[in-house]
Amino acid sequence: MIRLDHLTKRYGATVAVDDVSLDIPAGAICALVGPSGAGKSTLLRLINRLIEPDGGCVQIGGAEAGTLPVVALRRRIGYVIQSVGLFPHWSVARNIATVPRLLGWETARIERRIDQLLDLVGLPPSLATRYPHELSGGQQQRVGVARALAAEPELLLMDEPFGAVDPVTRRTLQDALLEIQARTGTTIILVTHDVDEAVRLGTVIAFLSHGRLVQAASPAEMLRAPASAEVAAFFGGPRLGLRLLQTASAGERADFARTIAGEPVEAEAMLDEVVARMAAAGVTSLPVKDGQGRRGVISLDDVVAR
Amino acid sequence: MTHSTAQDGSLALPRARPGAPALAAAFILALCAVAGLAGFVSVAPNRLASGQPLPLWVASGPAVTFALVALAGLIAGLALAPRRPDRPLLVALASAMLVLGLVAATGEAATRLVAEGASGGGRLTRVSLGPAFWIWLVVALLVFADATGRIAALKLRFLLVLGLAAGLGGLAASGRLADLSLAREFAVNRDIFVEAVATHLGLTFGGLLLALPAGIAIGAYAAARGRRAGALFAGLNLIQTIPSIALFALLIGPLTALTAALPALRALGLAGIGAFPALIALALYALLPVARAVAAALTAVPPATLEAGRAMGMTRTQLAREVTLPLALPILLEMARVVLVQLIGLTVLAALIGAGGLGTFIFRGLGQTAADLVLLGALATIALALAAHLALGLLIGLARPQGAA
Amino acid sequence: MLLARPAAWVGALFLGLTFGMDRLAPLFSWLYPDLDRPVYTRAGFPELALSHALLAGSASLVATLIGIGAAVLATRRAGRAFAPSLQALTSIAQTFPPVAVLALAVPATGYGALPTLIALILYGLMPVTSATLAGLASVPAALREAADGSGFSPVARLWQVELPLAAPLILAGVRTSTIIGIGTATIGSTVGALTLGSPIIDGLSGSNPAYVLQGTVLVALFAIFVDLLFGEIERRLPRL
Ligand SMILES: Nc1ncnc2c1ncn2[C@@H]1O[C@H](COP(=O)(O)OP(=O)(O)OP(=O)(O)O)[C@@H](O)[C@H]1O
Ligand SMILES: [Mg+2]
Repeated sequence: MIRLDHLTKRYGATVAVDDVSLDIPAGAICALVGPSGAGKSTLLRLINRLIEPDGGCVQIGGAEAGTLPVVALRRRIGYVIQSVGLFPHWSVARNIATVPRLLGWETARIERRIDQLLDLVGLPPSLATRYPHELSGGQQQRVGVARALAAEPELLLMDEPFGAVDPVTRRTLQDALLEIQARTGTTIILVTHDVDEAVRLGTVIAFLSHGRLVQAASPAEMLRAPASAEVAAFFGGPRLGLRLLQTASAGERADFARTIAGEPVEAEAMLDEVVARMAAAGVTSLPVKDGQGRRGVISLDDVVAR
Repeated sequence: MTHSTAQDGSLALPRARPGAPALAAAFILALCAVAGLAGFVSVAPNRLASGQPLPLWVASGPAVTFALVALAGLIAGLALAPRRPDRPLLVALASAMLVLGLVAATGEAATRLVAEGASGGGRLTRVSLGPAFWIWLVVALLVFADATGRIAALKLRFLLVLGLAAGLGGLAASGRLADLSLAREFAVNRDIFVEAVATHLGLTFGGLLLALPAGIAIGAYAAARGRRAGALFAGLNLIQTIPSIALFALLIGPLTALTAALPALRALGLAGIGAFPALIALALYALLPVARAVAAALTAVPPATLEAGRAMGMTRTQLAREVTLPLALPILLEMARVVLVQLIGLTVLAALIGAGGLGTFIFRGLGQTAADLVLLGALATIALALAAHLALGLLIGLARPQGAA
Repeated sequence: MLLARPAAWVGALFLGLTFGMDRLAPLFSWLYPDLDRPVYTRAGFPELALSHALLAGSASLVATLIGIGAAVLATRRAGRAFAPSLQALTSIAQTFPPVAVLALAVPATGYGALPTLIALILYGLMPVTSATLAGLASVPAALREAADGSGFSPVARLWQVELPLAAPLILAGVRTSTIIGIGTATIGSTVGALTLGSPIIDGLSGSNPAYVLQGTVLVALFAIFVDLLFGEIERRLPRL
């Protein structure tokens, strides 16, 4: 578990992080959102101690981060830097191997890990011998993600990791991240400007503004009851209700006591997809089927019900 | 109007090298023409009389002539032969042998001509190198340089250059060249020559050393200020613009006044003329390249890369050793190469203000119309500059990270 | 506008001193009271300056023409194979110190302006050639393809696309070459050429600091003036 306790960081007159307290349970994905300059990157840097706080402290797994040996601490924490920051004089493989090498893994294990990670972030193995300047921006970003994942860190800090990739790849990478997270139980703190990404990935969303933590809640809660007009505007203003549809699945609202004819939607499909299907077909109810083969029905009333 | 891109779109062509045979043909033509017409060595009864040119076959006899021409033919043949991967190596070896053969031939010719007392001068007979020799030599060296440049393996390349240098050194040490006028001039002046080389290197490295603190400070300042440091570099560039001789001379006046005013400086052996102004002038010249390189080296590592390194858990030393140094080193070495080569040449002028160095030979030779003295000074200077260029080139090749575009 | 630029000021100062040095005799007598002849007399300063400028200017012109020509040939299809050799050659030749090149020309040609001219041309060639090679190589391949695609003849492509795009780098090479030329011409006075270096050399060998001062100030102003002039031309090149 990560506990931020009255954390404060000042740069001259600007208070980049202002008295932030937040608990992030182990295995959670915390999406950190907020306007540019809100202090999101600064908060991440405080956690892996690239900078030291002016007040408060960070606790990681019960121990105060400030008391742990800093180099060892950082090797346990994966970090995807906002501006990628690959080592220009090292090949892709060598870049990914950074932390495993620092930890003294044996060569065969490192090589296996590199192949695995390249596959995971959707890069062909042939890229391993290339140098960063020979990659596109999105490819570089994916190498950055692979590098952060390399030593199976307990905590993963990601600063806008998918900013430069196309929407389809981004979705694939989000799925990959969810899968890794489900498998390893890594705690993830992820900064993003993409509201859909925050809602889709986050188990908790933390909204930062002017260094202050305005609200921390589950996506559904945050969308249903934004703490301020700023938060509401950030999540879409008048269209915020549409985002709410991304927080629940068809299975949660369907009535499995009856069914109707037609092409069924999957129970895991989110409600926005259900509405899209209804709009496309010009109907107000659709059949649903789930993983066990149960069949049910979902109507527009179920979708918009609270 | 249609236009065939295939015809003049030369870019699309693969890297064909139809020029290599042409180069070989030019090589052969030049050598044969020169060998037939001009003097390979020239013989004079004494140091003052003007010499009489002797073509290669007169000076060295048909056997040596045939051997050298055959070697040149072999190189041409190799160039004309179908491409094979080891061709550059073979051409380099053959041209190195040609260089050694040429030099050895002049030595043998000199020994024979002096022993014969040709042109009636007896032991005073002077045998100097003729235009044909120089042209053969320059062409052979160019072919050598070109061929070694095409060898991919850095170490093999360096080994070849070292081998040729060792061969030439060995020839000189064996005494086979002792009867050439150049060698005699060297023998007479051996002690002052060695001293001049030492002084020359002392001035060069002294000037560089003197420039380092200020250059590093300016470079660091420029790196911190970013683009706004442009005016600073423009100012330093102005110094580079001033003709070297003028800069050397320009310092005499102020430094004479300075040493006159400060007895403490005089007590240190500093004077307005001699090594003091020379070192300052050389340091002033070195300032711009040093400052440029330091600024470039300091900005060579993107801040994000450093942050990533720290965030991955690298210690300070690991970061310096594995990230900062590999990225900055080639830039610093490139700087050292440019500065050293430039300063070695400029140090020649230090002789004009009484600081010594190899320039003394050049300017004394020019004053006395003694071509061999000039040659001695000029060849040694060129050799030093080339040695610095090649040695640092090797270091740069070893230090360059592959990823740096 | 041009009058407000430093180049104009330095140029005016240079010309003023060249033609007015004799009038400054009282100043030099006051600076160096021990000297009988405080102003250089072996030749007039205008004559020295003219000879210096002619020597450096003609050498630069020849070097520029040959250098650009060689580099252009080496980047055409027929000469492509020579490009690596030319590149290697210029990089090695640039390590040869100008003074050594000058000194080596003397035994071959005798004393006077000729060895200076030869050394100047030989040495001036290298910066121009390597800069032109670099400039032509810097033209994006896509642009050359676009030129071919729109039906340019090879000559038209060279004149209208490649050379204009390479112009800034070529100009920088000519600038370097000319400045080195002015410096080497100064040293040319050690082999008997009449240049602004003559007062320096004569002053150094004859212990006349006034001559040295006159020569150094004039030649430094001249070099800086020419450099600034190139700066002005560079500023006027169209920005790409
Ligand atoms: N090293 C620094 N020195 C001075 N001020 C800083 C420094 N780093 C950050 N700041 C300031 O702290 C505030 C928060 O910056 P931070 O980088 O954390 O914002 P952010 O939320 O990550 O923004 P973005 O979404 O644009 O990345 C900003 O006002 C920034 O100017
Ligand atoms: Mg940020």
